[in-house]
Amino acid sequence: MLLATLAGGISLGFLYGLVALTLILLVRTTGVLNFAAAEVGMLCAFITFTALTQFHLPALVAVLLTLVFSALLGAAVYCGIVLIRPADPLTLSLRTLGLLLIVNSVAYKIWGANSPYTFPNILPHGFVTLFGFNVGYVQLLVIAFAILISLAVWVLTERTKLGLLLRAVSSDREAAADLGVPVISVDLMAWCLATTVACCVGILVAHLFFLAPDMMAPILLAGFAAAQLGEMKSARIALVAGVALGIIQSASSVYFNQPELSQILSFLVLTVGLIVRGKLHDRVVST
Amino acid sequence: MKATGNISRFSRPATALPVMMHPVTGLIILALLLCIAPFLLADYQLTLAATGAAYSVAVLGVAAGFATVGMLALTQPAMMLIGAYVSLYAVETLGFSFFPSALLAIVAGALIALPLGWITCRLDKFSFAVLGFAFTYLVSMLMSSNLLVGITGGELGKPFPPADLFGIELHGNASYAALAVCVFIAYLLAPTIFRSTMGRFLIVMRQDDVLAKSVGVDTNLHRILLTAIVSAYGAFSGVLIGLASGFVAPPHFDVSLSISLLAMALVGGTRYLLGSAAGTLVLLVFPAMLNLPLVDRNLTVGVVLLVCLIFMPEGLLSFGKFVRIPRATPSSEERTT
Repeated sequence: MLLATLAGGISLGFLYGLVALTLILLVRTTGVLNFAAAEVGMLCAFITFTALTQFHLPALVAVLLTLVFSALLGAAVYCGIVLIRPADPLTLSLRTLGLLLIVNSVAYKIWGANSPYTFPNILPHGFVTLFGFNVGYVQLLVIAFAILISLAVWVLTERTKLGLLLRAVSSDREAAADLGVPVISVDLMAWCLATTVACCVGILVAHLFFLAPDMMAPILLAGFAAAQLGEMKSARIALVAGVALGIIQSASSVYFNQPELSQILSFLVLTVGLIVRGKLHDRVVST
Repeated sequence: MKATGNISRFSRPATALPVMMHPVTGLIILALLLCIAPFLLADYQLTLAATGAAYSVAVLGVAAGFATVGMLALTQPAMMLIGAYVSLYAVETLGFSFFPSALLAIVAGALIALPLGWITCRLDKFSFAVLGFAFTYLVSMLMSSNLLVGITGGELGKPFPPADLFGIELHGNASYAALAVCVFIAYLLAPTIFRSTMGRFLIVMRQDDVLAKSVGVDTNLHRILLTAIVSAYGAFSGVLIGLASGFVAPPHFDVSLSISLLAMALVGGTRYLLGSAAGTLVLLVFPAMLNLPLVDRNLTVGVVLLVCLIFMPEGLLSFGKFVRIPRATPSSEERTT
């Protein structure tokens, strides 16, 4: 029981962590908090679903096509809401609130009537027995994919030339521009990368739970919380915070047997975490 | 265009614009609209307009928080729920009449906001927004749940009693008049609060927190007070919504309402007294009068918000700035000679 709860919590937590990763990627590079990150993931999951069920494409082809679509969508969003009329980061972040409502409403209009849907099995089903407890393959694969995506993003941002440019822009935009870094192209790449990661999260969430236009709301909230606990800077802390939140939610919903109490506990953990993080930050700054 | 061309867009300095601009004009227009509405609108439309006016009080609080210190008050739906149920409890259980119960709801909203205000002082803007989202989610979920079903009526909610004055129940136009007076008082108080010394301190805090501290402004105290005032507006709005619609149901006050209220404030224009009313009219009342389905209403809110933030970042009421022909200003040499 404990192991199964733990596996469920960790897989959920990694999804929170990945949402946090997409948020941090954009905040660090462009200063924009993308409120629509999770909804873009949901839209991509629906596109994969349509490709699989209506066009009967092979799973790999459907996922790859959706990943390409998500990157193009990221570029279109960047051009359509940022580049069209530049503004301060707060205004740009608020524009993504409008995008959130648009994406959510469009998804409701197209697919909302018969939702929720069961996502087609593109990952193997079954159980593996660990220490006498059954843990689903899907949960283990979600954990594996999440770790793989996190590693891929880490390698891309820390070990490649594009990553160097991203870090340069995130460190000082004007100095990077003076040194010849193509800031707008780097921004564009950051948006494409963030929406691609969001697309992966959307597909994994749909596979793990169900597919519906409102499936990402709790994931987005927890992703925000994890990103904030990582001070919108550290992807590693955000991933750990996401996993911790996932485990706490999963364990409390099993042991309290009251979803309300589980939510209260999550809220308290978030509040205390944010305050403690603020105090630690102040202490580090003052020393 | 060179790819490196537009890099200084994030360093645009904030300007110390006043909040609650054109208060006298705004109050006169509001009074006129509230007075002529019963003569122009049918019963159903008047109910929608009254509900919209009640929502606009919560939007006014959100706009004030945003225009002064840039606060993203996403806790507002939770405060609306708390206000509505405190008033309901005071009327049904404690035997209060409507106006004292509304006052109690306002005080309760402000008091509950005090710890949130204390937390605001320790968090940045986005952290507080996230916490606001979580708080609204939690309150809405708790009040919809079976845990508090005896008090809140669960997902189905509870009917809200009509207003009364000196023991006489107010119905029809009398009830509308009571609501209109309450809405007008809320709008009347806003410029007084936010154009006072406290309001000016808040604007300085938005400009530069350290500067505000260095000239002796207690920034923490002012943040807590602002949170309390914004929440009091939310609680008052909750009471008025109950009065206008005759009903309170927790699922109506969820996280998506947080976004809608912020959108209404931004679309109308946070710096204008009537901005909240304009935003509510465009995003809530008109779509409801056109009988648009909920999905289409949300789509409208999203599109209007996006278009406004791109092309009119100061809101619809700043439209005059675009149509007004700018007067030629004398150059510095001309002025000195």
